[in-house]
Amino acid sequence: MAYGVEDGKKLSDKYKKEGHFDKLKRDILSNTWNGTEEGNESFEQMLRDRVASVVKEMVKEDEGLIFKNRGLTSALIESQLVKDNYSKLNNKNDDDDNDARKFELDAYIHSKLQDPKLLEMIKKQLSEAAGSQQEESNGRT
Amino acid sequence: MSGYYRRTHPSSGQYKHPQEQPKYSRPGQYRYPNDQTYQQYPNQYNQRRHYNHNESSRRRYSDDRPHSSNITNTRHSYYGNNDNQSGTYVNNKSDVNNVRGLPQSRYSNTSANTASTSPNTPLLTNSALLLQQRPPSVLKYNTDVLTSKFHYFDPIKGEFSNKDKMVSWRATDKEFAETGYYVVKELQNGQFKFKVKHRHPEIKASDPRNENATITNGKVASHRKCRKSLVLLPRISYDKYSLGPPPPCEIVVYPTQDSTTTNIQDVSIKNYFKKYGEISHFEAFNDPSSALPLNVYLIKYTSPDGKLNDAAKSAFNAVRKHESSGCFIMGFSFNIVLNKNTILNNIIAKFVETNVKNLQKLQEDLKKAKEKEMEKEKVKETQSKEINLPKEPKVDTLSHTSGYEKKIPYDLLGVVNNRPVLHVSKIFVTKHGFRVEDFKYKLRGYRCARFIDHPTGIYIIFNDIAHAQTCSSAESGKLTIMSRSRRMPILIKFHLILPRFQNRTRFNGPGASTTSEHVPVEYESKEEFIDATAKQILNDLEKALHVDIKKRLIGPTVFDTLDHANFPEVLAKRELREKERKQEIASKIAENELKRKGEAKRDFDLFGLYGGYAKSQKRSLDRHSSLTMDRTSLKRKKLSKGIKPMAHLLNEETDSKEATPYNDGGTPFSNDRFSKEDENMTSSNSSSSEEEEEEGTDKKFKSESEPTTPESDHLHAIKSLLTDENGSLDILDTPLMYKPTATEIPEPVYPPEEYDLKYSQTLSPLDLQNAIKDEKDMLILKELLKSYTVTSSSSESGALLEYKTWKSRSQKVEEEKASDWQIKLNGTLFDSELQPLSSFKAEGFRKIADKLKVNYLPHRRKIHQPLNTVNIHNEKNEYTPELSQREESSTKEPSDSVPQEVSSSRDNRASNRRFQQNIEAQKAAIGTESELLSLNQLNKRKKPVMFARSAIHNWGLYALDSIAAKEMIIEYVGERIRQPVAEMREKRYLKNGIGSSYLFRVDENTVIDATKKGGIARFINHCCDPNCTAKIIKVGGRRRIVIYALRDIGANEELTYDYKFEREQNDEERLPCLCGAPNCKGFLN
Repeated sequence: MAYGVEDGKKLSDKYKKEGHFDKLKRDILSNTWNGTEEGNESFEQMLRDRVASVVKEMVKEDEGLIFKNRGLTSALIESQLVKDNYSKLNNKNDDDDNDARKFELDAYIHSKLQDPKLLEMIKKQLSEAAGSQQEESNGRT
Repeated sequence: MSGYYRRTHPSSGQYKHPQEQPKYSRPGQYRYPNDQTYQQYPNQYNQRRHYNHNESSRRRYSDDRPHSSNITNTRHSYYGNNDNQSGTYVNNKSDVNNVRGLPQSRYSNTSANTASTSPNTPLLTNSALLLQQRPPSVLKYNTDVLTSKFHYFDPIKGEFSNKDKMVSWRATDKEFAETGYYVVKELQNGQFKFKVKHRHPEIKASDPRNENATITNGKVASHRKCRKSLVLLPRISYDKYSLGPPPPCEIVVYPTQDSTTTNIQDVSIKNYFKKYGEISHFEAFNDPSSALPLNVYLIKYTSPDGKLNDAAKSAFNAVRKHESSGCFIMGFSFNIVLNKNTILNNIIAKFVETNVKNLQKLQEDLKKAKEKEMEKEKVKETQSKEINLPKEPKVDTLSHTSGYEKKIPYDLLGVVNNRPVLHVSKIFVTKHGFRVEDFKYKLRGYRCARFIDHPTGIYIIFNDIAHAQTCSSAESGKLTIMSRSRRMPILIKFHLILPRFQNRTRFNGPGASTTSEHVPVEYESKEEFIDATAKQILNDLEKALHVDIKKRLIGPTVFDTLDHANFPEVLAKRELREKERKQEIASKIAENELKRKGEAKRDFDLFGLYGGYAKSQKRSLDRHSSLTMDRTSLKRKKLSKGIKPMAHLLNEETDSKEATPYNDGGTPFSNDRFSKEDENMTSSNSSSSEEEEEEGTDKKFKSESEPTTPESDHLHAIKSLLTDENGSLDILDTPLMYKPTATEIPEPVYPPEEYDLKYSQTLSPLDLQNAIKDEKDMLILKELLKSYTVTSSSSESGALLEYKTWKSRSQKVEEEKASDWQIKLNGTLFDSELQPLSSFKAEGFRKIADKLKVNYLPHRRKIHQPLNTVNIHNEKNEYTPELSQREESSTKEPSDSVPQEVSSSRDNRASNRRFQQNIEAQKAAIGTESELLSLNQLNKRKKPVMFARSAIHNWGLYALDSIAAKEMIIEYVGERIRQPVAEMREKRYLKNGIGSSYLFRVDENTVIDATKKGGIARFINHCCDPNCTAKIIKVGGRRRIVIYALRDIGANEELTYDYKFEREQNDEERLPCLCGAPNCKGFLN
């Protein structure tokens, strides 16, 4: 049996619909930073702290930021942070923190995604989903 | 031509002149078989002559005139043939002749004659029976006299009557050659002479023109052009005398090549052919099968002014003009032919046929194309399943056909936005002068998104590939647009530029990334498939993660951290700063205020420097209120202060001091009443010192004349004066009236009375009474009258005297009142004649001259002495004669001002103009001509006028406001009637007793009648010296009467203009003029 692109799409859609995709995402985000060795901070919390600190620094530099339109300013700051693979977030830490705490967001995500375990899990789930899909389609026909 | 041959033929001469040359007449000349010259005649010509003879013989058969004797046997045989032919013809038709067995030769007998001719026409056949019954023919000329003279051919016998006497000329005359002779006119010694020349039948005759031609080939050139074709007969103009069918006056216009796409308008064709003549009928023909225009037109010309030939001429001209060069209308070439018989139908039929053929061809082509496409699609379908775009292959073929791959210029990429585009190259476009609009119009049926005129050409953008493709396949190479440079429809080829695939990925979103790969993706096994899907999911996951981080984590965090609460120190700082700033501002304000205060203080100091003169109003007011006695101080503009170190005050003091002793010393005065009074007057004039007021009746008068004087204060002051007799007067206690003034010339306390000004006038007791104003005066008077004793001479006792004095007093009062009224009314006193000598009742009736009436009838007053005859109800001019002069003057000023606010005429007109424009714009918007919005422009420029009784006649019109010269005053409005109506109305008005005419002539035919309906302009009176003039001006195409000011007109002046009546001859009908102008003509007409 040959599988076309359409089938792949359908399968991925199904996968997402079943909630696996969101679960994966949540897992990655809520995972502890650098395994377990460095405190109990989750990635999400870590990121939040980081962002807050960066923003505070920015405000320190320019107090006017707070008194401007909050929504507009936050959007501008956000785009600045996201720019160049979160370079601002990554670099900010270099000044006052040690190397261990180096915040490599992009790299972290990459490493998480490259995890063979994850792939295996996805495959497993996918095959399950595919099986059920097949059954469904068979039942329909 | 025939003349030429006849000359060579000897018979011709004989034929022409039988009497002159009898000797030449030989029977042999009729023998054609011998006559070789005759045979030389062109065959055709010969036959024709025969034919002609035949024709004539057919007609004049029954009468055997000598002419018919020319017919010989040879001809006979010809006729025989002819008869045979006709006989066969008859056989076909009817067998009548054959049944009767008519002889072949018509010359055999008379009966045969008639019968044989009859078959020629069916009509004659019918009458054959009738003809047979006719009596046998008799030879009319077979008398002896005639036969001796002439040679006749006896048709009954079939031979010449004088045959036996005829001899061959060859036998008798030997001087002529046997072959014959001919006479030639030859030039000999400058004279024409006839010469007899021998004939030479052995020499062949030749065409002299041919001889010439041979020469031309050699040397001699002929001036005549060699014609190779027949010369057309000159066109003979068709008129009412012409016979036969009228010449064609219709032309047929049809396209040279059958191009179905020509969308030329009928009108342009019609206009084109209009120049040849007046078109009476124009018809454009449509294809009956498709209802499409065939572009075949029938144009019929007409002769406009009865010239029958014109129509045909214009048609002919139209055709001839385009015969050689062809006809080009709007770039299409047309053929033009005269419409004869079935030409039009043939042409239409031809075009219809070609159209049908074209249609069939097209249909076939379409079918083929469809089949091909179907095949192709089938092939493609079998070839590949995973191709997403079914149109793709088709596009490829198209792009191949277009020959090369066009690229969208870089600057257009954004605009095109990866949409399919049809392109027409710039060179092509500019060459033919095409514009984007042309394409827009032509491709309006397609769903084109945009048309772009680019330096590289015209780009037509479509939103959908399918639309672009249908458009390109339907129109490319088929669409024609009229070239502006060549005036020719030009085929246009579109190049379809399809969106590039790699671009597509960019715009179609991330989902299409895998699908857009050119290599069709296919998975062999389930594992592979799942692998790929997992990868895909991982990819998605990464993206989703990034999005999540951005949107869900970073965004809100940034937003939250930006909260004011997170930065208490910053806020505090800021607050502090704010406070500081506020304080600063407050301090600044305070400083400013302080400064201002300081300045104000300094100001006070400044005021102080100038002492009492530059006092603030408040202070002065305070002082004013505190001093109740200063009520009239304002009037005199004199501030009476406690301390007044002015020099002039000293002056006044001396004056008063002087006056008192003078008065005191004046006791021993003469008894003369008038001189004493005079003295008193002078004293009262000069003295401004304190005078005591008299009590009693005098006081009443005084209070009347001086109502402003506060009495109580006055009395109080007097009392205080009385108590303080010693003269050590406190200046503050003196009544204001008597206080010293700071004027250069000392002023009297009481204003001078009338009698003061006129010394000569006798004083009445009333005046005397009035003269004594206060106690001092009375004291003086008493002093003066001490010496006066009543003499016995005066008979009047006390009572009578009292009555007389009362009478004179009352009379005086009355007179004064009357004169006051008169002055108020007229400005002058009444004429002395009008003064009543005694009681009006006693006087009885008397006639008062018109001139005198002017005195008491205000409207009779002369117009050049303007006076207020107009009573404006809202004007407050209720004067009472009792009011003092001073008061009158003070109240008059406000009343003199214009009753209502009249803005300047210039502003008025400007605003009116604006209003007018506004109205007109609205009118245009409404579109219809409605009376509702029609605006009387003149009404707006009207001056304030009103009508009142007039000095000239009855009513008059008066200016309420002063009017400048040449300004428009009012329009003469009334019913607009025609002259006859006006005449009728005039009579009716006269009959009804409406004497005054309000008819105003505008021009010969129009009269404006304001008698029953009209504006107040009709009240304007005639004057021989007018201040206005009536002008007839055109407003919006209508003549209107408008009154203009001739000169500056004052307010309340009566408006007049010259009626300009025609001079009436009948003295009784002349109307007297009442205008009263110095240059009055006495009559209106």
